[in-house]
Amino acid sequence: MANTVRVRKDVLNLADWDPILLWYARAVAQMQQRPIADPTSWRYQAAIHEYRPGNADPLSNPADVLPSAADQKKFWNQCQHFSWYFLPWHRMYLACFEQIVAATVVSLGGPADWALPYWNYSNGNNARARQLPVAFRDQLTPDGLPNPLRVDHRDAGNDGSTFLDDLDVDLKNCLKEPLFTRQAFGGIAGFGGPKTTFHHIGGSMGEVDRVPHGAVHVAIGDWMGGFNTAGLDPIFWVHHANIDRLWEVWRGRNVQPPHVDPTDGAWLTGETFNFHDASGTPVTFTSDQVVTTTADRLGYRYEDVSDPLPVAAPGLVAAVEVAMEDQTIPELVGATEEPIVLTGQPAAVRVAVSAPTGPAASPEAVAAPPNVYLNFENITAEGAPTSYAVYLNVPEGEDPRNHPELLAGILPMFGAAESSATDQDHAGSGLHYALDVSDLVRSLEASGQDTSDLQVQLVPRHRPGAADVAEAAAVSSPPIRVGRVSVYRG
Amino acid sequence: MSIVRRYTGWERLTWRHPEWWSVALSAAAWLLLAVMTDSPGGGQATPLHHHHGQSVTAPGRGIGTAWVTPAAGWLLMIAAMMVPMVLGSVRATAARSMWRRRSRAIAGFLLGYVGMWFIAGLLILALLDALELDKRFSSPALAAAGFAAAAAWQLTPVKRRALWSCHRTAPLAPRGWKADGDCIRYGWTIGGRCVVSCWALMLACLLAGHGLVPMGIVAVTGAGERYLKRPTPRGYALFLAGFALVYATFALG
Repeated sequence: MANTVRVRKDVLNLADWDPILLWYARAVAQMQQRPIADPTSWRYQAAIHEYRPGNADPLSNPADVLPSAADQKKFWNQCQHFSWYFLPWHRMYLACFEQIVAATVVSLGGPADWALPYWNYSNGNNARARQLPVAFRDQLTPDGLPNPLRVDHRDAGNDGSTFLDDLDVDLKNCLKEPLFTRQAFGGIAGFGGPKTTFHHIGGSMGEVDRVPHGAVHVAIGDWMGGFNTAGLDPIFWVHHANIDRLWEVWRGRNVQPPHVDPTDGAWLTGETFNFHDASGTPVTFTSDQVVTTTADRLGYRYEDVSDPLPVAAPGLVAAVEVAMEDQTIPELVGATEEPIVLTGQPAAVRVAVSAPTGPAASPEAVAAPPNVYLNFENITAEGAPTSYAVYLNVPEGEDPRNHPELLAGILPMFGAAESSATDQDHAGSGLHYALDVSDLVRSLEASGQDTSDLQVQLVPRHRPGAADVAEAAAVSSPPIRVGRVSVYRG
Repeated sequence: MSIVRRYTGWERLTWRHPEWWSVALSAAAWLLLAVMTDSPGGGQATPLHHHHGQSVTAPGRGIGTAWVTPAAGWLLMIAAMMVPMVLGSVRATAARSMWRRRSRAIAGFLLGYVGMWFIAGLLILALLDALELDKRFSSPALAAAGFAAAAAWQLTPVKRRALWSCHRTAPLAPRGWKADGDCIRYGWTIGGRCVVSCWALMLACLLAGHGLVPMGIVAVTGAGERYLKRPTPRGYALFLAGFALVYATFALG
């Protein structure tokens, strides 16, 4: 139980080795000493997200004694992605982790008010925002000990470079999304994600799940690029604290009507999730218990939840909880006939688009500006595939990267391999991305272009081991199979 | 950009729930089966016990007509029990199809799906017929064996993997014959996974005389493990083993 409200601070506002970071390092080192079967150990905490035994576990040791099969089933492999539980589940996860670290800090003689810091890489006013914070890349701590916050298993960041770009940390799409959740296939899935039951992996994802969440995961890469290893990197928790903070930012935006969380009982109490508290005792949470961060069982708040985006004039932002039954139904108006395979090289496909004949053709829909969604369905891959940027109708022979005005969005590919797996209770359908290209299509039409034949261009972005985008294109990637590229009208 | 539409009740039903007529089809099949059932526990005129214990290939009967009743009964059972298992796939098929093709796409999916189950069922029926189990064992003993097998199958990794793969989606071509072919193929593929996942359940249902009670048990198990959150194989195995025990008690009594 939390008696006081802890304050989660921006790591960018802290000194390189502020006591918050130094105590984090000491506690991590302590947790790493605990056996994997101990719920308060470092490896157990990472396994809650996902665990794969044997060679897939980079810290696997023949002397390991894993928890019982029943415990593994109940507490491990529980992460919720591509679901409206994405945000509440990770909030529960971080809160329990934070309490375990805080108790460890106290046991080591540290302060009683330790709180997990967050990393606001989207802060455009701080030149260091897109670099990995110093405490996560120094070889040694100020104690002169090996730094447990530094992980060598990263593709980028350890060299102090500014490795995150505008697209990785862009907040416009997620914070401007008016709805927390949407259900209909074909359109975007809301800020937090689509309505699902317990949903470990696969399917459509919320805007914040895609960017910056997924984008930052794959930009750091290696351990951070896999569900089963991400939690082993101490930066994971600081990254997710920021994602958790963005939920508060989104809900606190000064828009009318306001952004609101779901009131559906299925979201509030429909799923019960299992964790351990600081003493290693099993505890359960439902989403309704974590909507307020200062609630007794969470007991924290963020240093800064101010809105980084300019507020639109009243009347321009349609923001309200809209019942699923009243949301627009996207209808398919065009798609590719065959799957495409991406191998780290640029690629292009054409999509013939027909006029809508269903809900999008109704007088009410025709009278409103059209909603247009570009979908990438059934994306399957193995390993760590490269992420892609998507452009529409770039003039022939020109480099899409010179046309930011034609950018449709990015496909980080975080979770592509996991979503393709057919073991561990996975359907194997792969990832699904939906990009809202309404404004882009309208601007194309305004410039006189024919949008009944869309040219979709995919350009590789980050690539493990590649210094920049150009090099990324030259490095082969595990093949990515995109089942279909489709266009929906809503 | 508008995100709200006010739909009429009919539009909400048919636009947002394109699977509505698949549900209606299944409901009609249940109704027909209920009417045809002699007793709740078994003894229905289709398909294994179509002539009260006579083999479908009994001497002197034309095989063509002899198979009509069991085949039709099997089709009814698939429509009643197996179509509700794939409403998610039916919805996915509609959502991935051009608006005017949605019902056609669903029909294609169901054709492939039911086709797979129909063929699998005929093979099971032929096997049972050849073994003449219904002549050698009492109905409760067969039911007990069927549900025990279904309970055991629940615990196998193959079953579990097949169950999850039943949720898999597939890309569909948007237009023309290729779209039709993709829908049929998708239904056929899902049907194959569904057969692997549920064959033991359906076998138990056949052996138990496919009355409303065993069909209800099978339908509840199948729908539960498909739609309820986090299916627990052990729980369903125990549920089925319980019925195996009940039938075994009848057999011994």
